[in-house]
Amino acid sequence: MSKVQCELCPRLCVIPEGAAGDCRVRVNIEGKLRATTYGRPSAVHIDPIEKKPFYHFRPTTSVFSIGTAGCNLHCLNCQNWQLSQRGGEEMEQIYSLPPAGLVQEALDRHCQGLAYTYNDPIVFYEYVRDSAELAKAKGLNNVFVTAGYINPKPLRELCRWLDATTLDIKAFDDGFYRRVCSGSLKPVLDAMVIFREEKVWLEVSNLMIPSLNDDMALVRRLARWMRDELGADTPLHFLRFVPMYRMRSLPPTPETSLVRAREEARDAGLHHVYIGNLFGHEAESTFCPRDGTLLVQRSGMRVIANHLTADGRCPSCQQPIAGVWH
Amino acid sequence: MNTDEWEADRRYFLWLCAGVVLGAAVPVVPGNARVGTCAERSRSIAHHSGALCAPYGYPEAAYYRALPEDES
Repeated sequence: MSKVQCELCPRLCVIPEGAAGDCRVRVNIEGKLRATTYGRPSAVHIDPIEKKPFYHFRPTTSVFSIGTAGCNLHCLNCQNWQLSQRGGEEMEQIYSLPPAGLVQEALDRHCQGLAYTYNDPIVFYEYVRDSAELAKAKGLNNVFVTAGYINPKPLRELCRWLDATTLDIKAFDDGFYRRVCSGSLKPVLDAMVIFREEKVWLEVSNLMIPSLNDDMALVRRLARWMRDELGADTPLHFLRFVPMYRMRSLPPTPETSLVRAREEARDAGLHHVYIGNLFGHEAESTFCPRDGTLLVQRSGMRVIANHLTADGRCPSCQQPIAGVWH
Repeated sequence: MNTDEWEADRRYFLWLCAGVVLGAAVPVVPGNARVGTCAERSRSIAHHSGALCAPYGYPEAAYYRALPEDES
């Protein structure tokens, strides 16, 4: 019985013949590792790009979004656990959408890009890679919504095809990763640096869970690390937690925690800090870091008004605003 | 063999045939990972106009290595 070792993510699963890796979807079939969700998404939607969240990447565009079964993290609070914490055999729906069909669907529906999202697209790596290459040739963007738990070599290869990524850091705390997500922090930090080095537009999100990762000391450490390693212009989104999956006993994040976290991150020097999942709050909008002018007004993932100049500057002080605006 | 016994055997045989046919229609990959039949997928993608049940199987994954027997 020949075993294989998957080298895609830091787990480095050793997989006996007939079994799947920790992600449930990369299977050893007769001594070869096979990607069983290739071309077989279980979630297919058209989303506004603001939902991912992306606030500095081509606002108001639509992205054809897919996700499959499986994930290489096992977060107790996962909001897409019906997808991520199941194997393909447990899915109620499996669409047949190989890369060429996926790209054609996106074009037919007038989307401007593809989003690899919902579960962590790392586990359908080959499907992303092949689809992204075709999409790019057809003029579509490729956006990647991930937790960043991947090895450096495959990530660098994938970056050739990606335009933007939202990386969800679970907490700036290795203990949290081990207790809540069955992962570790360092590979995630390395992934963020790689995205930056490979010039993939990066936005960072952080779901704040009451009593588990809402300590302001963690927020300060994350913000300072981002400022020093990624640059002060990297957007950071603090997301409101709502009880999910195996973490239903905790309350939703209070607005005061999110507001305080935003203040801490801005005090640490980050220019663009947002609050998500709290619709109607002013922290959904983009302000000029120099003079405070309202630049992009949003509400509930929708852009209400965009006052940026055509070349992405503040209309009053001409400060360039980091992002990919067109 | 009386008529009742013959009828029972006939029914058993029909059930057996039906079981074999149904079993063959449900693809299974090692690890008991059932992936759904063509008919199931067809129903689930009513919006999708592309090829159903495309014959692309399970492509080989990138980034893995076979372990030598003594290492595994």
